[in-house]
Amino acid sequence: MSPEILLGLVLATVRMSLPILFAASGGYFSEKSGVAQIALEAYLLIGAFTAAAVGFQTQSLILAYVAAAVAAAVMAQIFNILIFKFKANSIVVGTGMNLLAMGIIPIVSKTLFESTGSTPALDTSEAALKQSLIMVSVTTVSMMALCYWIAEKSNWGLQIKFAGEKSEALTSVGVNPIKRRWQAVTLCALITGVGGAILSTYLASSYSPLMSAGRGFIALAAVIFAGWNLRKAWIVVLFFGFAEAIQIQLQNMNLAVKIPNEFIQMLPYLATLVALLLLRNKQQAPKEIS
Amino acid sequence: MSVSNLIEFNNISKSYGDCVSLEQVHFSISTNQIHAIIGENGAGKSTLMKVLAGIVPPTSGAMSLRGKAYEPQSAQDSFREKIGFVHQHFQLADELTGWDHLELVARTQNIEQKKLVSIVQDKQAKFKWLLPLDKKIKAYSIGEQQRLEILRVLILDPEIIIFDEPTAVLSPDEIDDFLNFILDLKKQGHTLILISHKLNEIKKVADHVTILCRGKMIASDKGENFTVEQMAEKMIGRKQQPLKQEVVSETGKAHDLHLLGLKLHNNEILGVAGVDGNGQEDFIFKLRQNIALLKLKFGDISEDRYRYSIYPLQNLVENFLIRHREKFTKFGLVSKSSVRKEVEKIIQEWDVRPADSDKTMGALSGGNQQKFVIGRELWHSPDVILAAHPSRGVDIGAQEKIHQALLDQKKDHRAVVLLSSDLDEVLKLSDRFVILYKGAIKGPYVKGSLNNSQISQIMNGVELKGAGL
Amino acid sequence: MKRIDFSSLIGFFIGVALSSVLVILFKENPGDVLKVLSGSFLQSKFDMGLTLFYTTCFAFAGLAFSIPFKAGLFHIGAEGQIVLSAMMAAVMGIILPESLGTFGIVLICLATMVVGILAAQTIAFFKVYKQGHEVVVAIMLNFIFAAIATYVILQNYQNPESQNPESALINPAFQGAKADGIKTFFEQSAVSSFLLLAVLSCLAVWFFEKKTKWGMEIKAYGENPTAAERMGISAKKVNFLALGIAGFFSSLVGLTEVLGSTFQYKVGFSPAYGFLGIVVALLAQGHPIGILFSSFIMAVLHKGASDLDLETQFLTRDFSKVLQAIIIFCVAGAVYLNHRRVKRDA
Repeated sequence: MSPEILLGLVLATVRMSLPILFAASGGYFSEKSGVAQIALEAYLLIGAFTAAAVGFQTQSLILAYVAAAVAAAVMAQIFNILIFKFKANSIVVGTGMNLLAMGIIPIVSKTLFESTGSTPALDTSEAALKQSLIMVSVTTVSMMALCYWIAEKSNWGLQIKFAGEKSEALTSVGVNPIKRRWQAVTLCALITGVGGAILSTYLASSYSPLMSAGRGFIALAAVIFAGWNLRKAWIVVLFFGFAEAIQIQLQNMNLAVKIPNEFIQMLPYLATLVALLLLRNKQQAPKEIS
Repeated sequence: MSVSNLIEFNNISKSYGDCVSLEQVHFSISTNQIHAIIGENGAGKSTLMKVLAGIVPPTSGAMSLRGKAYEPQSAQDSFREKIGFVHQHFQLADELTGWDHLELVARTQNIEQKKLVSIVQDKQAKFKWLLPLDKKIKAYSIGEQQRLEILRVLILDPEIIIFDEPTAVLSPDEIDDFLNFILDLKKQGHTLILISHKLNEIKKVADHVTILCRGKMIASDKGENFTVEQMAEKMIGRKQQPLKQEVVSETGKAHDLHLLGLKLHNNEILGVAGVDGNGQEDFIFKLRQNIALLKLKFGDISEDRYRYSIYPLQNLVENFLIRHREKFTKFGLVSKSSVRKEVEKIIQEWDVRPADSDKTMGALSGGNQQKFVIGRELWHSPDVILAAHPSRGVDIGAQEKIHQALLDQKKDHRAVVLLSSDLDEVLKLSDRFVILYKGAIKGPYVKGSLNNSQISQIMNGVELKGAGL
Repeated sequence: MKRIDFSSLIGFFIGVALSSVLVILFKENPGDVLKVLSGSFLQSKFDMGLTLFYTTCFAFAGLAFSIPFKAGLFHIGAEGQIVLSAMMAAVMGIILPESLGTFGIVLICLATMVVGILAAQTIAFFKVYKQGHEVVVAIMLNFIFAAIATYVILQNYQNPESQNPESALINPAFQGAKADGIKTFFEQSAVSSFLLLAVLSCLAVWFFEKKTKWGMEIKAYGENPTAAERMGISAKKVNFLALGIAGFFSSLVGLTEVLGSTFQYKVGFSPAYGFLGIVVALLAQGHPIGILFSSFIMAVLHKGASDLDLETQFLTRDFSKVLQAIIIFCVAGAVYLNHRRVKRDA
């Protein structure tokens, strides 16, 4: 394999992984604090759509990213209210969140842009692409640094771990575990929303329907596969991104043996199941997850 | 009130809805005192301490601390006032390390990492502890877990320390160590509050004793002014009743529990003593396996009724039916009508309150739940009965009934295996007993053949030659 | 007789009301929207038939969720099982020789049921032997089964007479449902005698839960698994039984679609039956007879929402998803508020 192809593969891996990286980081905080999170898909979609719409209207990437994060975070409050105030089940409400996102976006899109398909394209000039690249790089690096610091070094991060493992320990030091979980979910949505923004503004140049394509679930699979450890989850995400990059590469190479598209797409899910099969319960879910 | 009053409780009352936990509790605790608060299960001791520690607010009444009004809004307020609380049920997360737990506490009070490390080193040296703080809690022994809990509290240097049932999970020797530790803390100037129902231990160390019964303060006086019997009487509100025992003739029938290396006679109570965590789970499992292999009828008064014996959301009829389902099933279908009669009988015989077979199990108090469970487990005339921690979480009235019922089984030629971490209970009721130590079964010993010191030693692994024979 | 808890139904209507108010944002009149939603199923026998078809599928999906739920399992794997069993039905319908006739239909049904049951029991396998959380395993399997089904159908059985991603039609010998009495009555709409089977299923499940030993054991295990195991109820048995029954009902959705409606496998045929089964079960609060009614209500709504696309300017077919989401939220809220009220009064 020539070095150009190899480099191309590496770059493609990183590119493909980006939205999932954000979703997995977000999902990590929610799950770690004890809240099962299957609504990552919804946050990605909302983030992607909001970024594309705001980006188009304002021509500002920064506003697009911020709007995406905020929109996802606002949506997460519905989830929070139902889970914490109404004691609803997080899987049920999560399903509702995904349905809501999938349903409301086309309608809003039709109202704003007269189309249920893609939003109007963003600027794809050289300068715009360069700006986008810088934006993405800076955001990704700072997100990773920030998340690592929050998770492993901060007070809040330690309290989140206790919220997920033994909430009484928090109550006895006067910290409200519900408050921490609420914050964790909000943080999750913020981060994942930015991932969605990257999806529609960097990996593409507009929002197209259901463009998250299950990435939210792949991110969840990554967190679980990695045993609810943040840095391991990032590595797993890269591995999944690699699989996607390879798939595209293989398609371009016209090999004699063609691996069906569907099987490549299945890979993250199959891998997680295999991991569950082989890894003997070594990595436990946070004890209080629900 | 005199000047040396550190804490004053002025008519503290606490209700949870209709349920009155504390009623006009009024007494004071002096500085540098070992103050014991005693009472049976449900008397309100823990609730009172939660009020003191700011974990729950009182419904009415007031407290004062060091002469000033004290109204904590949260646990953090109590920390600031230098009150520490070592809980009965450890609040430790299995998957996190000792350091994680200490840091959690330290950071809420803004103690820096470096300072934390030196404080911890200091305390560990002072008490000669060697806790493996880098390891996850799941690797800790019960004694180590308790020490970590205490350490968590000590790093904030509290003046007042509350201990809630501290000796519940310790062996007799560990208990002695702990009582000396308490005296040590007193010497260092701390004020200690001990919540307990272990009257013998209280008698040894307490300067002052306050007795609660059903939420009310019954008495509060110097420790030396009470005898153990007086404390017990005041705690339960009446004199304790002696148990009736009949002498049962030899019948010669013995069950061979080969998985345990024991023989069980069908006219005895075999006690199983030992500190929690020395193989009780395994013992119970093997006992059940043996019973199944021998195809004996089994009465299972489990060690943890919430985990193993009851379905809180279902009513008493359903709780009975599920246990004895085979007897009421024909062609895969169950008939509930005949079940109700049997359940009514149990309710009557055991004085289960409320006396309503349609009531959900969760609506009954611990004592009534246990009484129902025992009635259910004896219903089918079992050959062997396991009574594991039968009086846990149960008031003295129900406890007496339960103990009497266990003794009565002997005359019906049924064998009882009594497993309990309450050594007094085991010694009081058993004809013979074994002691569990790290999974090994020591004994069996005949009743009265060992003194307390010998028992202690065996519980801690000391091999005693010729003991109990 | 316990008082029937109508809180979820109230939540449902609040959800519908809220959604119709929401449409104001999209320049629609709530009244008009409600009219379309509630009237669509009555427009003709054909519309009614289609609505009853949805009812059938929703009822099976509702049962597929509620039975494992009684066992303490959160089963969201129905979607994958539905898709996989529909694939099986279509494939068998294409490859089985015509000469088998009615017996061929029986074979198709049996094979499909086996596939559904085994697919669901895969979740049980992971739960019992590998401590895998059933939600995670189910999500994974949903994707895996969907990929397998799509691959098998498109690669090997693509309809030569169409550009759409769908299979060829099954052998006419197995399309007996076309002559089905119910289908004929409702003007050859999607409904079929599977509707009767759905009604029977709900009754059968009710009987199972109330009167049989296994039903009791599942309920006990669901409430307190450690106590149930101590009393001799095997975790293996409960998990495999509950999920097996669920898989059976998932397969019935596949059969209803392939043998009773389209006679082929269309990629994407399921409007998330598996997930909507959760809503149906929630609405009925797990009661099997209630599921009959809640599946009909959801079907009415589903039918109505598809009409909205044509009748309004901005509300697309996707609005049904918004509707479903808001209903989920309102039902959850209403049930909670009612429980709190009951607790306070008790």
